[in-house]
Amino acid sequence: MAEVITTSNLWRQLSLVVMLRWQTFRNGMRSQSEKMHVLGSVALGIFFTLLTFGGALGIGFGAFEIVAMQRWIYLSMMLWGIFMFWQFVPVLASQTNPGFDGRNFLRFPIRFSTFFLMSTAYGLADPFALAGILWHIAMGIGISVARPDLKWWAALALACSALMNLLFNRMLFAWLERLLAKRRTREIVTVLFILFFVCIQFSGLILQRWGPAVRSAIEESASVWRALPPALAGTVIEHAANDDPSAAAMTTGLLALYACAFGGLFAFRAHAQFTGEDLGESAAPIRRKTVVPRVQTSAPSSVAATTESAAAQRVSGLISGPVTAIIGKEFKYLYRNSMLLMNIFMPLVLIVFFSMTTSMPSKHGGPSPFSRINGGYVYPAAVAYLFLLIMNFTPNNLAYEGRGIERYFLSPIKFRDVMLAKNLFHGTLVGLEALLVLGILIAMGHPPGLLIILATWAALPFAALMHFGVGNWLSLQYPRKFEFGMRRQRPSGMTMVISFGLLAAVMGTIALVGVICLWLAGLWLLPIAYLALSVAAVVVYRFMLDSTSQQAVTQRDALLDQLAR
Amino acid sequence: MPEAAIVAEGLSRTFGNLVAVDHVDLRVDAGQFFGFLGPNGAGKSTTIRMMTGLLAPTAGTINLLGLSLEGNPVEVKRQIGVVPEGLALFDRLTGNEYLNFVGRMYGLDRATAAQRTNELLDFMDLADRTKTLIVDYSHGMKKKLALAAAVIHGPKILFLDEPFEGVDAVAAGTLKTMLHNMTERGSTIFLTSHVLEIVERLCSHVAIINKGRIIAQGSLDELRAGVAAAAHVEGTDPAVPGQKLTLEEIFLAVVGHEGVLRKSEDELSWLK
Repeated sequence: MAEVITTSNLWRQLSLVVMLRWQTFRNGMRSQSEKMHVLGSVALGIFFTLLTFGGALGIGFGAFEIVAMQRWIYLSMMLWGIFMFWQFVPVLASQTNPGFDGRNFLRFPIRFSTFFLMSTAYGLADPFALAGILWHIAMGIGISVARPDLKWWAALALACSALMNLLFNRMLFAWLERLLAKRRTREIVTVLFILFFVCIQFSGLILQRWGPAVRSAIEESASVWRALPPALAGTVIEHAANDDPSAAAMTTGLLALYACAFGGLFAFRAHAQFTGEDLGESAAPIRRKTVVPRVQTSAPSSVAATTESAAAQRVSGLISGPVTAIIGKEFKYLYRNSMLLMNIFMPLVLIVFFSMTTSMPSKHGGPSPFSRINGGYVYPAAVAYLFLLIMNFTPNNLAYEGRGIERYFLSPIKFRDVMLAKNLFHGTLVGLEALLVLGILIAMGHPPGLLIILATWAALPFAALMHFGVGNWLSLQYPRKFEFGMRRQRPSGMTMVISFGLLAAVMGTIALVGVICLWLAGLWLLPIAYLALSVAAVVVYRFMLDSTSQQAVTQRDALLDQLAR
Repeated sequence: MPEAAIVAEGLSRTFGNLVAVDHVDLRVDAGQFFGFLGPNGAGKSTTIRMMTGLLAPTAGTINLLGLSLEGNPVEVKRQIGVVPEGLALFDRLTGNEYLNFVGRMYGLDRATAAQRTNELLDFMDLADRTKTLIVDYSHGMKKKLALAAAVIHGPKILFLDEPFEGVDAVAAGTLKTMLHNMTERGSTIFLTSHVLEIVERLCSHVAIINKGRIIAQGSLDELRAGVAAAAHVEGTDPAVPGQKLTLEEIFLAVVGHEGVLRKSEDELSWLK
C-alpha cells in the first residue's frame, strides 16, 4: 500500500531551500565562465562593501551630530534617503541577486506560512537590503552614543523601520512582478522609466532655478512627509528625546501598523502565487482562416534540392549578404527593445539638457558651471558621454540572441562576420549620434571649432575599435543572456571589471595624448595624433576580429549553454 | 554503390566522464530517408549536433557530400538544412523577417529570399501571421517555421531533430508529403523521432543507438531479418504469427536485448 507523507517541518523546508541554493551555486561553478563571473562579482562586491561601510560611517556620524544639535528634521530626511536607496535603487539599477520565483516550490507540500516566510526572508539576500539594514544599525549607534538614554527607543524604532522597509520592498517587487508579467505592459512600464529618468535629469535644472523655493516648500510640508512611514522612526526618537514616551509609543505602533499593512499587501500577492496564479504569457491565439482544401501536395519550388551558385551568394557592394542581413536584424531588435532604445535616445535628451544649462545662470547669479568649460569642448564631452552609453552593450553583444545563437553556428558563415556586422551596427549608431549631437549644438548656438570636430572624429575610431575588439572577445568569453525589456540584468562580473579597465585605459590614453599635444604644439596636433592612434587601432581590431571565428568554435559549447537555454 | 551523403567514422563525444556518443560509424546514401532512433539519453541529439556543426566531436570524422565538416564547415553548411532541438529561432523577429534573414544568411539575394519566404509561409499555413513576433507563436507554429527555415536554401541534406513533436496532424501530413517529395528529388533526410509509426512510414533505412553506440543499422527489412534470426537462436519470437514485425517491435527487441527494458513485475517498493 502506498503511503503519503503528511507532515512537514518549517525549518527543515527552509534548510532545504538554503541547500538547494547552495547546490545550484556549486553546480554552476563547474564552468570556467561561471567561476570568472563569481571572481568579478567578488571584486564588485568588495567595491560595494567599501561604499556601504563608508556610507554607514557617514550616517553614524551624521546621526550623532543631528541628535547632539537636536535638528530632528534631518534625522527624518536621512531615513527618507535610506528608504529611497533601499526601495528604488534595486528597481532602477541592475542588481546582483537572482529573482525569487516561489512558484517553483508549489509542487512541494509546503504551507502558506512557510511560503510567505521564505519569500520574505529572500528579501534579505539583496545587497541593497543588507546595506539598508547596516545603515539603520549605524544610525542607531550614532544616536545611542550622542544620547545613551535614547538607545532603547532608537533600537525599537529603527528595528521597526528596517522591518517596514523589508516588507515594503517585498511588496513592491511582488506587485511589480504582477505588473510586468506581460510583455506589452513591461515595455510600457519601461517607457515610463525612461520618462522618469529624463525627469530626474531635469530636476537639477529646476533646483538650479527654483532651489530656495523648493527648499522652503520641503520645510513647510515637513509635517506631512514626516508622518509617512519612512520618516516615522525619526519622529519616535524626537518624541522620546522630548520626554514624551506615550507619543513615542503611539508613533512606534503606527510604524508597526504600516509594516503590517505592507506585509498584508505582500501576503495578498504571495497568496495568489501560492494558489497557483500563472502570470506566464501564452501563445497568441491563431486567427482561423476559411479552410480551403490544399490541392497542391508537392513541395514548394524553394525546396528544390539545389544550392545557390557561388555568384548568387555574393552581394554587390562592400559587405556580404549575411553581414547585411545581421545588421538588418540588429536594427529590428533595436526598435523592439525599449532598453536599447533608451540608450540611443537618452544621450540626445541629455545633450539638449547640458546645452540648456550652459545658457542658464547659476544659483549664485554668476555664469553656470557648465559655461566655465570652454564651449568648444562640450562637443567631445557630449560625444564621449553618448559613446559610453552605446558601448554599454558591446562587451555582451550576443545577450539578446537567445536560441538564435544556434542559427549563426548552423549558417555557412564565419563567426567573424557576425561580430563584424554587430560592430558595424554599433559603429553606425555612434557615428549617427555624433553627427546628430553636432547638429543639435550648432542649432542651439554652441558650434564647436573645426579642429575640435576633427579631433573628436579622429579619436572616435580609436575608442570604438578598441571597445569592439575587446568587446567581441568578452562577448564570446563571458556571455550572459538578457531578456527583452527587462531592467534587472547585468553582464558577467568579469565583463564588468574588464570593461571598466578598458574604459579607463582608452579614455586615459585619449586624455594623455590630448594633454601632451596641447602642451607640445597646440590644438592643431590633436587630430593628427588621434588619427595615428586610430590607424593603430585598426590593425589591432583586425587581428582581434580575425581571431573571433576560432574563439567562437572553442567557446561554442559555453555560448550555446549560456545563451540558448 | 550509391553515393554517400553522410559518413561518420569513429564519432565520439564525452562530457567529463560521461561518454555520450561512443565510436559511432554511420553511412547514409544520397536520397535516403534515414531514421535515427534510440531511448532517451541514448546520444541521438548529441550525434545530430555534431553532424551539423553545433558541437565538436571528441574524436572521429564527419563527411557530408564528400566534404569534411571539420575542414570545410562553411561549404558543408551551405548544403545542409537543420531543425535543431532548440529550433534556433530569433524570437523578436516576425516569421516573415526570420525567413528572409535565414535566406540571406545562406547567400540568397533579396528578391529570391522574399519570394521563397512568401511561398514557404503560405505552404506552412503561417501566411496570416506575418506580422506576429515569433515569441507569440505557439510551439507547433515555431516548429513549422524552423522547418521552413531549414529548407529555404534548397539543402541537399536535411537534419531534423524531432520535427513532428507538437505539430498538429494536418500540418504533419503536409510536412510528410514535402519531405517525401524532397527525397524523391534526390535530397537526403536524417530524422530523429520518438514516434516510431512515423519513422516506419517515412524512412527507408534506420539506425538504433543506445548508450552512445549504434546497435542496429540497415533497411527495415534487414532489421526485421536480424531480429528474427536472433529470436530463432534464442528460441523467442517477438512477432505475431503471419505478420511482419513493426518498427516498434524491432526497436523493443533490439533495445531490450541490451538490458534496458524492465520486467513487467518490477515495481517501486513503496508503491506495492
